[in-house]
Amino acid sequence: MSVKSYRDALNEALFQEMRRDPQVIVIGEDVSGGAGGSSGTRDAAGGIFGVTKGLMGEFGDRRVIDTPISESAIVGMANGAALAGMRPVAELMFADFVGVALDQIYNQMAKFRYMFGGKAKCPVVLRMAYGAGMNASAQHSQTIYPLLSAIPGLKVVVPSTPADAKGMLAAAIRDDDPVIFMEHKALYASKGEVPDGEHVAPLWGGALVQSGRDVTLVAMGRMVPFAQKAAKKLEAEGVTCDLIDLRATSPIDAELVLESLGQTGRLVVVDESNPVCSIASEVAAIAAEQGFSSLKAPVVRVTAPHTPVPFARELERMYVPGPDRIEAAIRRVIAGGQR
Amino acid sequence: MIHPVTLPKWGLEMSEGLVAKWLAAEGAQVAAGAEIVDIETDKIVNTMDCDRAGVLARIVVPAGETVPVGALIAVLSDGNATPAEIDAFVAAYRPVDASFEPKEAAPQPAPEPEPEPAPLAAGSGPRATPLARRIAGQEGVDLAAVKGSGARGKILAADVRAPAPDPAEIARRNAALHASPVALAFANGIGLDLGGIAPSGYRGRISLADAQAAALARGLWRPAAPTPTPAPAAPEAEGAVEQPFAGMRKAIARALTQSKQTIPHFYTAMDIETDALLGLRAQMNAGGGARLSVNDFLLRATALALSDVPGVNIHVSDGGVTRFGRVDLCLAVAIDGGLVTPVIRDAASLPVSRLAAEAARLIASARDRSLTADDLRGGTFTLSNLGMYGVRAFDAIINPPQGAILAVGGPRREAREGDGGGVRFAGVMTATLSADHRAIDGALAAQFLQALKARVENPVALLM
Repeated sequence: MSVKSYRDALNEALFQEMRRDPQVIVIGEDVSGGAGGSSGTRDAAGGIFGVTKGLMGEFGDRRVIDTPISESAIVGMANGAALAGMRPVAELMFADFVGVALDQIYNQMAKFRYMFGGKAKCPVVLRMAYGAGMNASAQHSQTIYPLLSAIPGLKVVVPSTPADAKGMLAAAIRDDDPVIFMEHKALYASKGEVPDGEHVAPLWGGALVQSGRDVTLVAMGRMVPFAQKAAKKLEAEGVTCDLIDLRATSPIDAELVLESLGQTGRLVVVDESNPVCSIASEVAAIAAEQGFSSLKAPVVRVTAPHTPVPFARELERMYVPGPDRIEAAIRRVIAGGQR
Repeated sequence: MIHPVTLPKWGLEMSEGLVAKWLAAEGAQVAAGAEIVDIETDKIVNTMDCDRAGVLARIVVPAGETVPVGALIAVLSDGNATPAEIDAFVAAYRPVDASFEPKEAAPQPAPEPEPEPAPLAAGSGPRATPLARRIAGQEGVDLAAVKGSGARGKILAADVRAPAPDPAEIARRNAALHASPVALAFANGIGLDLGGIAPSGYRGRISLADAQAAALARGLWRPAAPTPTPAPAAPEAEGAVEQPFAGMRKAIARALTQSKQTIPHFYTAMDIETDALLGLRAQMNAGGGARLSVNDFLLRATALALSDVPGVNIHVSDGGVTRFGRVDLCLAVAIDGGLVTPVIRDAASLPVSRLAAEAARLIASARDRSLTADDLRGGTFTLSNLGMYGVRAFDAIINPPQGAILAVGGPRREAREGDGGGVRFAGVMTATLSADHRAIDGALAAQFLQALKARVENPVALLM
């Protein structure tokens, strides 16, 4: 175990899996470093977030492939390679760019196994950076995972810690089904304890970050540390929360949420997405449908507003659900949920 | 090998087809890809190929018949199937229902009731010594979960009393199992070893329900009544204990809150000289007989004033105003722990002595909690008197659905201007009418008080 950044944990997982299995290849824009990078060598930065640094040096340009700027080609190439027996890890740089590749994602990748009666498998890992808070504005800051989680045939994971980043990326590469791997861009620099050596974590199932009696607090991605801060503040006033890190938004670990709700009776769901058809809505629906008798107060959702992500810093700060809004939501659910 | 040949679906909207002409004879050998039958739909005539080599063992649908998509039209075999086997295949074949109409679900046969597990015969169950059984009974330990160390697995007392394993060790063992994190937290919290529990949770996890069931069986846990959630820090006074509203207090709280929140109260006060009344009362009490109180006279005066100004003797609701032909006067009686307002029926027709008797009866019943529902129902106006406590004046809260309530203070001595410019002293009390402004306006309230004042200041009329 040692302390590593989220970015370095991802990098370790890629090295680990590429060494273990020669069929694993990495595809994307500038993943090898960008030809002529700042140091003049081909393997310079290793992608715009540095996640793929060093891979080209060890595995060569037949396994670490820079593509033109065409997302539908990137995903189409990954799909074809996967059907032919490879295990591609394709990168979309920003989650917002799924639009131009959506047919390859939801009509092709998600449906191959089903439509071919199990005769084909598509073990693609599609990595993308999501999320707001870094002033990247409307077209580079969306969450996107609610859209993709709605599609049957895709697994969508949202690791919030460096340990989960490493373990879930390794698991995604080993998994025979398409996995959408969402990385919050503001978490790349975050640090945490990560097991050294081979580490694989399950692609489904939530984690109980902390235990409490009063409120079930469900969050994902960057909202998990924010929720943790809010919960800590309220501990001083005697209110304790069960904090659940969903880890995956497809499938959602409904059973875990319901088990916790059965003991607390109050639910707050935090999701950085826009409110309509968000993961927060889905969890609230699950609670209302299957956990109704446990509820002591209406479910409270904490989400971004129904607007594009603003560019002005003050507006973006209001957009992203922060610890103060989560704290207010917990207080509201304790008080019976009335606005 | 027997293979069905079914009517194909050649268009999104095709639901049936006419078998137009068979191109191969029954019993003929057909090659893979050979054309075997022409099929006609609304839109096209097309020829169907055979998808594999074999013998066209049976033609089920002859030319000229129309069948739905998916229906069995012929049977292919590898040549080894007997006619009897083909017959059996055709008879047993269930075509896929390719129609567009949603079908009513076939009524499901009622599931067979689970056979009752055979009751344990006496003397069966895990073998254990009598001492072990007694200890297990006392400690609430399920013997089925205990490993026996005696001869042939017999459970001994020592096995039941095995020392509790170290909680950290249990937590370490539990962490290696596939369990829901909430179940893990629960199990570690009570020192429950999750080993060996059959998982029934999501994707084969040991769920919280599984853990709780095991804990219950091993006597480690009982489902608790839900604990009330603490509201974030409210500072409490030293030694203060909150008593929840109960019974009469609860009813008063509810009724008066509703009254104050929904009725637009307004208040009119009038000073009334009492010397004449007190003098009359003294005279009557000196004459012997039951003693009359000031309140008894006030009841009479109020009842008569209500007859004079019936607009104040009303019920008010969202639907409107109800006027009454008679006065059913409530008097407010303070009792231990609360307040009740029993009713004197037709108060305006009762002389003071009868009012006094009735009031006394009701007060006594109130004090020993023997008022009936009838005593409390249906009053049209309330009189509330705090004069005996020295209160000068107060504003009472209307008793819904009544339209008004009269609050009377105690008599006091006041210096007033006399006729001829001097100072005279008079006994004065203040009467305050609280009225519902939806039905009663200021002028009406004032008229009532004027009538009351007239009655009290000319008290001889009260005796009539």
